[in-house]
Amino acid sequence: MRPADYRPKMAGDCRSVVVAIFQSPRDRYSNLSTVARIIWDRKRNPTKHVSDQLGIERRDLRQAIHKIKARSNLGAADRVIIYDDGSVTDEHGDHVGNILDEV
Amino acid sequence: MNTAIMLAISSTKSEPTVRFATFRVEGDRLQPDEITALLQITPTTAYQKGEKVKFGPRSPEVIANTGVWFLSTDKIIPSTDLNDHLRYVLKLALSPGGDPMLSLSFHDLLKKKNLKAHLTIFVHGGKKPVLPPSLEAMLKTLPMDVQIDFDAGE
Repeated sequence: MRPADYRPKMAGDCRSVVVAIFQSPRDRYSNLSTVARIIWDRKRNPTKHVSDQLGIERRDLRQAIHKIKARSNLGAADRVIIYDDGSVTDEHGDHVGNILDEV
Repeated sequence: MNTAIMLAISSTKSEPTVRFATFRVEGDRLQPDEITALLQITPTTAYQKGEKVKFGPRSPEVIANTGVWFLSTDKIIPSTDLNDHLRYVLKLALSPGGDPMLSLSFHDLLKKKNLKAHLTIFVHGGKKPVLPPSLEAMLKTLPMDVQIDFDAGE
């Protein structure tokens, strides 16, 4: 799925750092609060730690990921990257859904 | 058909489980309306290649790189018995709208447009589902592959 105009910002994104240097402390802080962090990037099923980060039950997390993968032509063993805002991308960084939209 | 499917899954009732199935048809030449007309059911989501798609309020708009017709039984079948979910999907593929001729048309359409069909089974909690040979044989007659996603839970 090719993103039209979106890619979650990562904590170590150089652009975010450069922009942050030239912002006032208040703007810098508000910018950092919107940065989505990776909370899972492995092949196996996400752990309870991931569902806790998203504030949902683990079975709901698995159910959401299964539906997102099934819809996106990804198998159970395919790796997805999960961000702390619920965004899910495939291993190429293409957006495939948001867990919080499926729960 | 029902007898075979009734035997499909053995599982414990001792812990809460989640069970459902999904059915997806995909391909570059897929026209969602054609599939909906043949299967006579509204999909959970469907789009054609190149269409702008938004999966939900928290999702950005993306460009579909292939056509998809996707149905998930979890919001349709209230039962936690996987047999009910599988029976629903198999009926859809074998006799949509109670008309076996539509099934033939559906299979012809898959072939003609080089579309692929996929069935996935989701089980969280309880024992791993085991498909008996009779059900596996039935699934092999259908132009779809089957994947089982199982986790025993915490």
